[in-house]
Amino acid sequence: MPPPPTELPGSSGRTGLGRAAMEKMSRVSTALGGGALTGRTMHCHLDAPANAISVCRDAAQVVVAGRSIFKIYAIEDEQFVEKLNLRVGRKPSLNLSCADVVWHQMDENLLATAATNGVVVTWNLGRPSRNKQDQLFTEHKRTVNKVCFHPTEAHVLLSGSQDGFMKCFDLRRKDSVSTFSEECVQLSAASFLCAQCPEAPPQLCKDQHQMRDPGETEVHITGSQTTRCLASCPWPIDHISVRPLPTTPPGRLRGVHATLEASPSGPRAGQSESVRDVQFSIRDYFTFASTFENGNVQLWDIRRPDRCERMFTAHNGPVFCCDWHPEDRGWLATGGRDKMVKVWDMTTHRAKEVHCVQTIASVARVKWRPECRHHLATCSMMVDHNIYVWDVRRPFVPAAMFEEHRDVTTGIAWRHPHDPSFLLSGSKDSTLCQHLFRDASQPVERANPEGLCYGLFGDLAFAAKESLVATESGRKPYAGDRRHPIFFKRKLDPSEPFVGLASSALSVFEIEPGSGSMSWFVDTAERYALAGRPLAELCDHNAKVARELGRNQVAQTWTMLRIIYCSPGLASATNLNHSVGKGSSCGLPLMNSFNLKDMAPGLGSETRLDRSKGDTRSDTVLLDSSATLLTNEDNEETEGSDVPADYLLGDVEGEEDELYLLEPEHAHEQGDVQMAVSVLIVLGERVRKDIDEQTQEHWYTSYIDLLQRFCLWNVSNQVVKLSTSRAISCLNQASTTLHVNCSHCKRPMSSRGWVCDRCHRCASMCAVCHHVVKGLFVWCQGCSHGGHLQHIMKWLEGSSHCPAGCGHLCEYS
Amino acid sequence: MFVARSIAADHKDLIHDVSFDFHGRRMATCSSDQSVKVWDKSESGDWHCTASWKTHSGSVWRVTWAHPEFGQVLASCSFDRTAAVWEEIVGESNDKLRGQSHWVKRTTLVDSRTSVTDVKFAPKHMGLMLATCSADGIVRIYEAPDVMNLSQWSLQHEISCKLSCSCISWNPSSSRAHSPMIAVGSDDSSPNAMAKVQIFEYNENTRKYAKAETLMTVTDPVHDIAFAPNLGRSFHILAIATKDVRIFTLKPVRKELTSSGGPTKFEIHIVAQFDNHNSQVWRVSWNITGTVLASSGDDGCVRLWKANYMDNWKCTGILKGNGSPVNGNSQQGNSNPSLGPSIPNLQNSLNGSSSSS
Repeated sequence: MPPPPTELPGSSGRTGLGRAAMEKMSRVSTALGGGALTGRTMHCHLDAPANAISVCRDAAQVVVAGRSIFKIYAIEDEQFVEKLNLRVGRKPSLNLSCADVVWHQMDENLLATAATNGVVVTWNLGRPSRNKQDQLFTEHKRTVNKVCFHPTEAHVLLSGSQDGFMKCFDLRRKDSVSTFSEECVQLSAASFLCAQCPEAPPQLCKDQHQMRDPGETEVHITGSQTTRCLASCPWPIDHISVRPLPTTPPGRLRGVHATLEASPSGPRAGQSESVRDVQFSIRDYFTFASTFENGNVQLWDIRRPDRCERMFTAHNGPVFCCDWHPEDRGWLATGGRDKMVKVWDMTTHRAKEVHCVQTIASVARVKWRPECRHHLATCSMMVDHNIYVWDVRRPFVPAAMFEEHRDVTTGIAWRHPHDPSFLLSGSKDSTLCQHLFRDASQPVERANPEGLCYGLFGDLAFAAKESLVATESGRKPYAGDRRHPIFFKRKLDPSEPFVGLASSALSVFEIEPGSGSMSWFVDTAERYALAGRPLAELCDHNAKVARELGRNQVAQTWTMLRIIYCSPGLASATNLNHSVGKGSSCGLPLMNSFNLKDMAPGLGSETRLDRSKGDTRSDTVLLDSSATLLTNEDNEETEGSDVPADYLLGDVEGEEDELYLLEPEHAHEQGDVQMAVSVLIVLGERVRKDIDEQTQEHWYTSYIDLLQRFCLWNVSNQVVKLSTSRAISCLNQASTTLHVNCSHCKRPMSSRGWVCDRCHRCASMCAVCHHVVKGLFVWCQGCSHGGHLQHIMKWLEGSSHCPAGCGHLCEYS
Repeated sequence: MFVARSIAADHKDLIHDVSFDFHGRRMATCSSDQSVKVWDKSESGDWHCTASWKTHSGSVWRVTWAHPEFGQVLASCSFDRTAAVWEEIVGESNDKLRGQSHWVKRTTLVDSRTSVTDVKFAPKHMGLMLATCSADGIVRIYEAPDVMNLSQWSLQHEISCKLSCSCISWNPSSSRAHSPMIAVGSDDSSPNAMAKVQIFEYNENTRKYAKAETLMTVTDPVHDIAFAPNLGRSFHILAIATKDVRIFTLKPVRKELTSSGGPTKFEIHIVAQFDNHNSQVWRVSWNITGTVLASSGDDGCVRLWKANYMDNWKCTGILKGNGSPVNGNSQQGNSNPSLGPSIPNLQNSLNGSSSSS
């Protein structure tokens, strides 16, 4: 067996020279980078969608290739100028349908294209004829996805194809020098032992398996459940293929586990995983990386086609692209359909994931940004047309975004290997663009750095970018008030790249009980009496509640309402009010408290209220109010209300009403819908007609919504029940059905009311007091006897037997 | 008055939104790290993260709760051009035992071709609806016709705003007199001085949303917009976060006076404008009664604004983002004469609505 080749084919004895050339090249480009590139953000229309672009090393020309386009453009300051059309010849050839194009970084005349029919073509711009086509390699059986020149070696070209093979070409020869395939991988690294038992000596497997003719055939071995390593390790071998190559010493093949069944097969074209990208390492002369549709990335030594140096699964799903870091030896960026860009450190024994960027769509291309150690540009192959530049240290938010393209971006290239500001791109929308980094939009700038939300009880949740919170306190240190130590002052480490910029501080400002929380609302809602007692008592009760909660204005309003509507002797007082309201001076204290919270310029406020009322309410209602009210009050009286009839003087009453009307309008404009609704319910028919139905409904729904927020279900239900608005009162009847069975005959109660149709007895009798239960009825689910809640509770204190005398031991939960 | 409770949010990038649920006992946060976290308040008042999951493949800009009548439902929107609706799954599982809840994605709304910048559920009385707005200037309104089926949403309306949208707010009024209305703010930063706030109103006759008003005076990029809770008011209050805080009132002009069928005309007044943040204002949020407005800006402070009975809006408190009060918030019972005069109404106004009637 010949020893493995130690040098590149075609570069015999020139390894050292190659390295020297590489260094020379980098010096040249550095010098070129010093000369400023000029240009602007611009685009030009192409005749056809582009599939790939590549830049000449002079940074002044770009080649665009696609299914039906292959052109070279000169990049001038203001525009792109078409320089050369490489699609010549009458009949369109599939060889010209390019999937990829690459311009040699050492030879300005040398280009290579990958055709969708599997052909690799090289082009020599130095040819005198119109047709610049140089060589044609027809070795791949399916689309060639990627071609790549060796960064320093002029004659070495690498291709990766859908058929699963990578081929290395020497441009001075007619066919490929070596072929690489994802197959024959697993075998090599572990030298015929499974990877899980490295300590097992190879001779354990000796003589267990003999290759028939190691030099000629490829052996493919597929593992099964019974296939285990003889070295007593528990792992089944799931997939091993052996392709004996001239470099493999035949004896080593015996190491294959004995129980495996070896079956010779031919070349396995089409069965191996498609190659999506191949990239020569920039720093390591012999190394290249390849990415596969099954998510694997392999590292190859170009001299060793028999096995890859290393393989690891980089992505979930196809890995579409990879790019070596231009400076950091061993950093490889890979992008996949799983929408991620991962940066791998290949210098360690196992490839280590050092960064992971989450993009919003599958990653079709990835290119490190020159001179910016942590930046890389990506574009997607579907959905997303933008180009993003990421700082890999901030993996969630792109540092920059180019939004020029209207269709998928297919090719991106930094214009010069040492200039970070010019990016070129080609797209399916048939345009070629030059983007200036300073024209990019920066999503970070527009991203909202703060979140703020008012809570139900007056507490505030606040999240803010730490730098906003921290720098402020640093610049303006809190003025030494020891009562408020800054508990949460995070020290920021300036060496971190995104110190304070990519993290937020979250805090909740909780309001102390009683100081401004909404507890007054809850207490008021629970304690107000809205019905069931005479008006005067209701008003007094509510005034008392309000006073106890420290809400004096509200208390005075209730008192005032009581005076207006319940006290016969106070017509004169209201009359006085009326006159005050109409314009006489004199700040009557009663008046003040009635209408105004703070009562600084009493009359001004009064007129203001008047006006606001006029703005929002129909004047006609007000004009009619006197008449309607009169009839209202008449009704009240006939209904046996406790309002004395004789206090009603039509003249005054209209004003009272107006005064009152000011009240709820004012209240609800101040956001106190509770007062408005409570007054509406308490006063009932006295005011209802004067406020239009829609407004009432609006108040009710708003108040009910508030009550429900605070989980005051009982109050909410009471309000619904007491409301006269049909739209409201049906609220607690919607989608609730109660099916009742008669407690005597156990049949469903079909009709409404208390009497069962069938047995003609009252169904819901209290077993204790023998009266019909209206209201809360509680019953034993065992014997269906029950009664008033209080009665049953009292009964059960003395006995656990059913009060109906049925002998059942009732259980209530 | 305020006690700051800082929470170790443990998001890996900026938090862009915080949102309380209807009852104020749960909180959701969303971040550029593509995740949403749900926090539940314990009996002791501590906030515990009960769920954290990856929601999108880009920055999550906003998160918002649906009315609990529809279940425990969240909506989120993201830079990845989608909005998503999430529902909490109730059931006994290992998660439950560990105090974690499980959220499942019910739908992804993929109509936008650019970043979805805001998502808001419509007021409950309109049914289960939500609106999104996107950077390409389109407001989309979706409806779930069957409230039991959160995975089916139909796109009801597409409103073109011509400007890149940054925020939306539904008018919360439940009054039948007020048509459904949505205010849209734009953060378009191009130099042209176009109005950045547009208000669209639903027209019963045409069954479409039509532009009702444009706030011509707001020409700087708008970052947040919020209608105040209505609580029975006949007019609307709108807060805007732009380079300053602005508060507008919109009083509907009586229908009879306008031509019937057309959009409602509004009498618009700017009632307050504050540049105290001295910088961009990012967020505005109303308290539950619509009487106090909180705003936060690039100065890292939260400021509270409240109107007195004369409709004069004043600052009633400043809170630092790191939890320390800047001034004014003297502790209860600890009289501080030096702070007293500077903010005379502080005590009153922080007492909030307790003094309003």
